[in-house]
Amino acid sequence: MSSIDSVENPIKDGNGSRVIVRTVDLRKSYRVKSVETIALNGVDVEIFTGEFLSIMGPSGSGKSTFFNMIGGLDSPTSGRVFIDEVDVAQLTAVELAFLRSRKIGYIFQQFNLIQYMTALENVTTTMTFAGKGPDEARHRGMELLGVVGLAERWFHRPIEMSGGQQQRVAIARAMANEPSILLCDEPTANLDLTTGKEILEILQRLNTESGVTVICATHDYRMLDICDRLMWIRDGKIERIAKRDEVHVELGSIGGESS
Amino acid sequence: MENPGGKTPTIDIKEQPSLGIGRLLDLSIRGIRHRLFRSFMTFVVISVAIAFLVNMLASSVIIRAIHLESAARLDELKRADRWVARLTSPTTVEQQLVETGSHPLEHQLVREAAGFSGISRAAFTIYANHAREAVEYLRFFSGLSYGDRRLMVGRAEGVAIFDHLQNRAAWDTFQHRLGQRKSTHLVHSLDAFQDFVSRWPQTLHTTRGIVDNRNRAVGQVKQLMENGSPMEQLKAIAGELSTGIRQAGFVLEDSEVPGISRRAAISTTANQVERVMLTVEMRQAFAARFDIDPKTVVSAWGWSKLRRPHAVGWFIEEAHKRGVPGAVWSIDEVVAAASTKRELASLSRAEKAGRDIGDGILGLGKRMTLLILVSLLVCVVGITNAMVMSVTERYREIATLKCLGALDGSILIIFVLEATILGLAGGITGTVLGLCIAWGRMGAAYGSLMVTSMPWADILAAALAAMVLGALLSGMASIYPSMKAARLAPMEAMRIE
Repeated sequence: MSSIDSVENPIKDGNGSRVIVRTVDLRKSYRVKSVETIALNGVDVEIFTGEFLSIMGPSGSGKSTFFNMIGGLDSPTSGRVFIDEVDVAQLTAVELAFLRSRKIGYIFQQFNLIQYMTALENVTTTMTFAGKGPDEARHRGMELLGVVGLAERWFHRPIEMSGGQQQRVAIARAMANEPSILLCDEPTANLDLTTGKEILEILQRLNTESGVTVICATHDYRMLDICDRLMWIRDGKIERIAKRDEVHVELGSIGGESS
Repeated sequence: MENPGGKTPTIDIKEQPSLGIGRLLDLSIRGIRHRLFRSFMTFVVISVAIAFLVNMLASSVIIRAIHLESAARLDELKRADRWVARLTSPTTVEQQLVETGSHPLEHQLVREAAGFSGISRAAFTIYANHAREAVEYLRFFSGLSYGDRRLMVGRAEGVAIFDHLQNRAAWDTFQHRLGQRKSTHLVHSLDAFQDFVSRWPQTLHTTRGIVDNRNRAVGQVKQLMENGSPMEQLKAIAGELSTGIRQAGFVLEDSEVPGISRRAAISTTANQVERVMLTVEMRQAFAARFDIDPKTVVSAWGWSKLRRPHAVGWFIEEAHKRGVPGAVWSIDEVVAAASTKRELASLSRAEKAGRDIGDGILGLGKRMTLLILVSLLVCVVGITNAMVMSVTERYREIATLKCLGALDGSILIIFVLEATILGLAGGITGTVLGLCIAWGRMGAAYGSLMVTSMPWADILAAALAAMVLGALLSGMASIYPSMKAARLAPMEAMRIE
């Protein structure tokens, strides 16, 4: 533990942040009939507690696959994923369920709310799975809906809400069990500009206020303004990783997409 | 960086608690309510499959019950007809042999044969055993294919086979051919059959004696019943006729006499009514009243019109008006005859429907067993398909639940519970539906006979079995697809969709 703590966090200053996600030579290939597609081709990366990391890359670059790997949603073909220095591949199905419900919060492009539950129930279900009692879960659920600004609409079902509202419920749900990591897969891709901005603001607020690590796969360049670090993936490999201020300097000179 | 083994976890990963059954049930019911249309379709598929099964099952237990009930009743209704046949038609050696060989020694017909045989009781007992053997061998030979029989015993048929085998050369041929057919087995050993064949002339002789005496007795009784048809004569069996019949050598129990005479009376009336009904004049009367073609008036149709007293009144009156002779019955007589006719019709239907009862599962008959197995197959395929479909289209939901930390087992239980609830609901509805259909069909075919012989215990058992089957089958059908979905990594499940 001490060796981890002693690693100096190069991203955020002070307060002893450490590596929370680490991948070692991560590879993933899909086989559809006889065609083999390599989605990830050896990714080594370290992600630190409390940082806001954006993963960028064109579609098909492997960023969603990378996202799924570090979320324990899919298993790698080879290589390892450590979350808090625990090898995800060595977890049993039950431990994996524990990890998914308490250590990681997921936010999807499609929101993926359970259609037959109200906003509040969507938030409380994950707490139920984690073993919280119904009263406690309801109390915390209302609190979280308040944080995302939907306290008055707790009884609405997903179908009765706009995309932005659904995504806010999804964020509340992801935060329900106080995870260490918030994994977002294109959280703003299905939303218009203003609602997308609102979502980003909420994510940023959560990152700064509760110190949750946010890992965000995105196309959205507004992410540049709020993230600490950027990572570009191309053809299953990390093209580059850079801190925000470094990128800002570049953007000034080359003006955008570093194709 | 220098710690790729990751031996120092900073979060301790405990086991995820599993949810209580109440919460899982709640989730299942919400799932059903959310997908009401989809669930309704699944429910309909299950109901229809179960209704089909219950219909088959209930029909067959009803038919079985009616059949058992009707055999005795039919025996009673046809008593007079049987006696007419027995008293008036001469018999043959084969008929006599089969009659003696297929009843127990104390049976009325066998005692009668003993009387006609004119041999001692002990000798007749031996003869009766030979007759039983003969019946077995006759059944064996008639069960062979024509080609096989032709090769073994030539053109001989029935008891003539035993005559044919008296010939030494014929016996050798038979033995040779039988030896060639490894799959064909005699009832008993070949030696036993040879013994039987060697005894055959004696058996034949005794049988001939019985047949001759019986035919003589038939002649005597015919003389007694010269004036009028035998059936009309039997109405008055209680008097001299019964003495004459007994003197001729027939065995007639005292207890039978009133029944015979009552049945004979109804039968006679029925025959007379039918004769009048089918005269040109009455056909025209029917045609005029019911506005149909006179040619289409047949007896079964006519009887169906004579159910009610006022219709019978009209019938008798019309016969008098049109000058048809013979319409001399009271209304009650005709109504009784008509109800007997109807009962006979439904009884013989039941008799036919239940002919193969005793075979197959539960003694429901081969045909019924086959139909039930087919409907069971329809059930299994229908329910499995419905369940596979409804689980497959919810992969995204399953994946989401897994992201939220649901255990594989919880997901499995949620979906199996859901399927079981639908299966139970479908099973109950299907059972009610199937029972209604079965009752409707059986009621139309057998009328009041169905109500009186309703096998409630069997019906209840069948209904319960079908409900349980519905729930069980759908629960089981959903295990495989939901297990498959629950075991997938969440993203793989989403990718499939």
